[in-house]
Amino acid sequence: MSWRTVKYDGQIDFSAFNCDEDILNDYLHQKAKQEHESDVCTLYFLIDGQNRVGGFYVVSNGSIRRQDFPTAKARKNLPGYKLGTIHIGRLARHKEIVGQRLGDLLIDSAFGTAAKSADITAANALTVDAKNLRAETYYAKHGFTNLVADPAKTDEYPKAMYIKMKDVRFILSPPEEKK
Amino acid sequence: MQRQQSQLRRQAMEVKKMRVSPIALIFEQLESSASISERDLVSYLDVGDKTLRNWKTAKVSEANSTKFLRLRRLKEVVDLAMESALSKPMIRQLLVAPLDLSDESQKSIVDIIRAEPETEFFNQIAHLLVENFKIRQNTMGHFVLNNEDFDRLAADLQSNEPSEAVRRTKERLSQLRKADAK
Repeated sequence: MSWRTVKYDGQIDFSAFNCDEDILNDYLHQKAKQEHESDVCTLYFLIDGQNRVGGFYVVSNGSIRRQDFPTAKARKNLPGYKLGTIHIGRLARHKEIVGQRLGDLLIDSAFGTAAKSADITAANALTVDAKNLRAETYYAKHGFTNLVADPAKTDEYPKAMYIKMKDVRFILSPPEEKK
Repeated sequence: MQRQQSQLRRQAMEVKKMRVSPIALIFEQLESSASISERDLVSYLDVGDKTLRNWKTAKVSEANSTKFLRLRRLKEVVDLAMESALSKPMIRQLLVAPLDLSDESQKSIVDIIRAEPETEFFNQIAHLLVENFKIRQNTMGHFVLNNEDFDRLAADLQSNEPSEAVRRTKERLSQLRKADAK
């Protein structure tokens, strides 16, 4: 089954969406549309051929300071003033649609959106606030790193995470041909 | 009173003379901004090769010397430590720790200033050391950067290669896109 990403245009029916997490369901059903229309964030849906919603995410712009990056490598060649970022506000997949790698499709789509945006106005990193351990594991699996130098020392959520935009572009680039 | 005034005049003259040398100017800034006395600063660097021992006699021709570079590096580290709200005793400890002199592989910041002032990644390495120092202060620990760690860090900074997690993500998502296109 083929899924595609669409920016919310007021036409998509997402009333049946349920991701099994109340916070995310409430956000989508009560706030997302309003925030999208008020330019607080941009809402994207993953939909199939029958316009069934498989997942959603919202992105906005943010900023980060050089010293917020936890490693010397991540700070390399960066100036001292605030740097632009793209921020994933919420991301969730439908709980009843399984076995279709919606989690991977959603993050791949978010990477694409972030890279496109960064091509127009520079963004040094893609950031996210992992709401719980499950989310933290999911983002770490997709190349994100904790912004805190020693994340194991705290169990407090949300935990801020990032992936450098150059790494996002690397992920999106065509795979190297195996010789 | 008169003696005091003449002493002040003498000091003012000395400061004026000092300003001729860029090295002295940096030293002066360091001393005033970090509230570190000349004696302390000299003693910090004494751990290394006594870079600043003769700073007052530095000539203009020495402006581009390694000595000057080392002094600038020292200022960068002290500024960084101050930005990180380290106290004067902590700055002192940061500069000289670790001080296990019997272990030659250990590097203090002063060692790095002494031995690697021209490294391209000095700022990043100093930043890392200050941050590690801050974290380890809470546990009363010391941060030790040995030669091997230093080389690994410098090599890592030099490399623009993506991490293993990023590589795996690329592989997984590429396969996904390929399967989706079929």
